[in-house]
Amino acid sequence: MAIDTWSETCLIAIAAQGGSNVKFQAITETVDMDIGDKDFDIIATLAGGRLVKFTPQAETTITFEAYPLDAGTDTGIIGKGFFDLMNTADTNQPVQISADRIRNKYRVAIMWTTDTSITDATSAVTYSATVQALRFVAADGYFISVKPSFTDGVQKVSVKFKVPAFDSAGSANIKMESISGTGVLAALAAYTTSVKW
Amino acid sequence: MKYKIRNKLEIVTKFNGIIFQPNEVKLLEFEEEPIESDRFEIEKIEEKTNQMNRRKDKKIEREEINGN
Repeated sequence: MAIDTWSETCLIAIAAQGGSNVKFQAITETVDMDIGDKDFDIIATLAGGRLVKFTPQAETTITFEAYPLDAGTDTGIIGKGFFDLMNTADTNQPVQISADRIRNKYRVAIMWTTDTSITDATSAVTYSATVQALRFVAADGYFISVKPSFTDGVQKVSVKFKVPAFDSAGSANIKMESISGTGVLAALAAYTTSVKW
Repeated sequence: MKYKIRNKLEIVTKFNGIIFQPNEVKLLEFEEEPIESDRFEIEKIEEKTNQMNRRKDKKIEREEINGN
């Protein structure tokens, strides 16, 4: 039976270029996708008409609210922290991440699915009467903000990932895909400098 | 001991406090074996070098014997 809404759970996978998909759903409470507007201006003519002037699509921003225990993910495919996504990652304990001027590209995949056996947002999903899925992917973006807070007696981090709608060659950096009829939603390919998904 | 360390990622990453550029390879010396990382290829090169040196020594020995 088809579901009424996507609710309660979703999967989040973040990959560095050339790196593994690291799962962050276990420490994340909310995720918001502010997909860039394809806006336009209007020019009013003297005849009372309106001319449409398109403006380039705005950037997309994904915001996470999460509860990490570490500064970053030193190793493995389970996300432990976010500060390394905005600066140079450290792969050894103790994890030490200093502010730097390095900007690294990442891919974020967010997937809702009724297949409870899937734990990776980049996995393939095969449709059945009880299985469907919706996935949003944003590649070649940057983590621009990691802000911890302790105002509610719990350490929470607000994280922002920002991505332009297109790369310099005009290829899409974001995509939304779903499966709710016979077929397979293919797994995302490994993220590299030349392959986005 | 010497190790050949390669950053498998296509982003800048730190290994034991040393910054690696994307896919960069560095020859580093560690007193203790470095902890394995899924983001770096770690290859011990000390033994290989020793083996090569031993082979060279044997070759020289043989040449000396043959020469005499």
